[in-house]
Amino acid sequence: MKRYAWLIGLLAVALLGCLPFFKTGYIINFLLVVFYWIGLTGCWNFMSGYTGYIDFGAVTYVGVGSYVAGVLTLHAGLPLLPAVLLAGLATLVLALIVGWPTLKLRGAYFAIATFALAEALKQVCEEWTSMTGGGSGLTYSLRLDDLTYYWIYLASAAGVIAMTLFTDRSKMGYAMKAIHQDEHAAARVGINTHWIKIRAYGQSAFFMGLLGSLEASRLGYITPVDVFNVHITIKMVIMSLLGGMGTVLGPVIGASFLQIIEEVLGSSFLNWYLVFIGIIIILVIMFMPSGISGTITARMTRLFKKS
Amino acid sequence: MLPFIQALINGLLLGGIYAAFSAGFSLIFGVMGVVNIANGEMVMIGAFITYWLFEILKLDPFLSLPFSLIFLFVFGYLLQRIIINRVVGAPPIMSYIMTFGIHLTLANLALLAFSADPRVITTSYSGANFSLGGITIPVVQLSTFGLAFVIIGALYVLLYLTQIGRAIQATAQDREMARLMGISVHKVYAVTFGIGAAITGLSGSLIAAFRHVETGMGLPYTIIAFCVVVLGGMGYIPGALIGGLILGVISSLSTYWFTAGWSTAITFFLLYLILLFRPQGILGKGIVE
Repeated sequence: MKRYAWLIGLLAVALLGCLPFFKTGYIINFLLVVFYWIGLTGCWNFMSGYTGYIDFGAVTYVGVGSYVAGVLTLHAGLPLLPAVLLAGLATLVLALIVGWPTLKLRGAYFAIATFALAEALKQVCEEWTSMTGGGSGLTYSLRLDDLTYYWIYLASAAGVIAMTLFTDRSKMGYAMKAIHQDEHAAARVGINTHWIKIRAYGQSAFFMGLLGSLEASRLGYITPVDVFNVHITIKMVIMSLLGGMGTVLGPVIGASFLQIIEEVLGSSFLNWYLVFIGIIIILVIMFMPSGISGTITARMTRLFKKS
Repeated sequence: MLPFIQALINGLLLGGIYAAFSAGFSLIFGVMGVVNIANGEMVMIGAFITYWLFEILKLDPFLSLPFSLIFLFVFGYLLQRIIINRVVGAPPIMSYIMTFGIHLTLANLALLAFSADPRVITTSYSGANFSLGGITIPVVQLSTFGLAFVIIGALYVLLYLTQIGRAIQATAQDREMARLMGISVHKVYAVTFGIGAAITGLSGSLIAAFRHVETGMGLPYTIIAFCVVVLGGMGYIPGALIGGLILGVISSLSTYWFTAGWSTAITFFLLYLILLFRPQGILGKGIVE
């Protein structure tokens, strides 16, 4: 079963890719958002889920990506897709520069430092009016059509999950898990822990930059408060946690689950929805700390072992 | 020169309040290793208690302090006893997300109950101030500043001179050893969280006397508490005082020299740099992992 995981995944992606030929409208627009969140959560899970370094400022790369692509299309007159690619590269470079010192911090210190950086960059975008338009926002002049976004997001989500799947069983993946369990021991057996962390951080930032800039172009209008919103980070964290951190399918389960709940409750009872999410978070941590997939896997193993 | 000194004084007055609502955050982190993202909600609850007591019973904001203290102590105690005790000792992420869940629940329940309207308490002495050599000092802020010191002083006395304080310290130093000495660790944790919530709520009541009271006020205060506690050293209570005053002065002076927006950016870059280069805080007495 595990050996054919990639085949099943490919089949699912192919089926979803064909869906727009049969259905249009609401369902496509809904799935597109789900894919976007699977992609982002996949990035967060790839870094924080595997290495245990909790990135509370992941939104930095969504925000910086959005602004880089926005400024490039608006001021430099670049077409959208090259601008998006450059935004991804810019976030990659930023992540390498930021990651070098920041990834030496541990635990709560790393979490707070990344959070502080995201807030600082939000303020910079807010104040640097000549470049970003400041608090009154920046309007994208270029946009793709909804179907293209659907396919690109599907491909990105699949790409991020595939990256996680192949890394999971690679030397890099084992190194990341070793860092999660005991970083000193990992360093002692010859893993270059600092470099592994920076690589994971950079890889996830690259995809966040791509996805962030694409979503910004889809929405057409961004403000610093929107694209650097701490709730974007929190959503990635919660989706990873619900699905199961440090697992390949965690982001898929977590993002789909939360996005469906948000769709059902969020549109009509926004505040109750947030209360409800808060309570779900508390209950999940109290009663199923390894997430939905982790808990189900554990139950299944127990069940099969009994019979 | 005078505007500069005025900005400096404003910064110090602000810093006292910062210190007061950060001390509880620092205490909880120092004893349990829990990063309490719901810290700002304790400020919010304290502020609303004061607001409603003033609105309904016409009770003076400063007289509502005991009510905030008692309510938030009980609330914090129960919160820790029922919910947060489960994540103590678990990987730290569990405590961040758990307290974030509490933040989300409390902030939005308050929003449903009280709506998002900002509210103000206007007392007979609200706008009162006195002048000292050309520098204006608002009376309410000054008395709040004084009370903030009293709160931190009381916390210090409680921690170092009482039986329960020693139990809290023992638990913070070595949880297993404290348990062997007959300390009920979970009870100590609950009391600690209660004390943390109570002093944070008290600061909330003080803040209500001169700032807007609204349901979304929590998160910004949590963020300030992060900065203060990192500056002063995580888990080191007197550090909260130093960190609060320094942060108050920095944000006041950078607003004076630049704009409020750049002042916020500077604060966060500073927080980031301090974490990189001096994670044990300015005094070097914080806990470093």
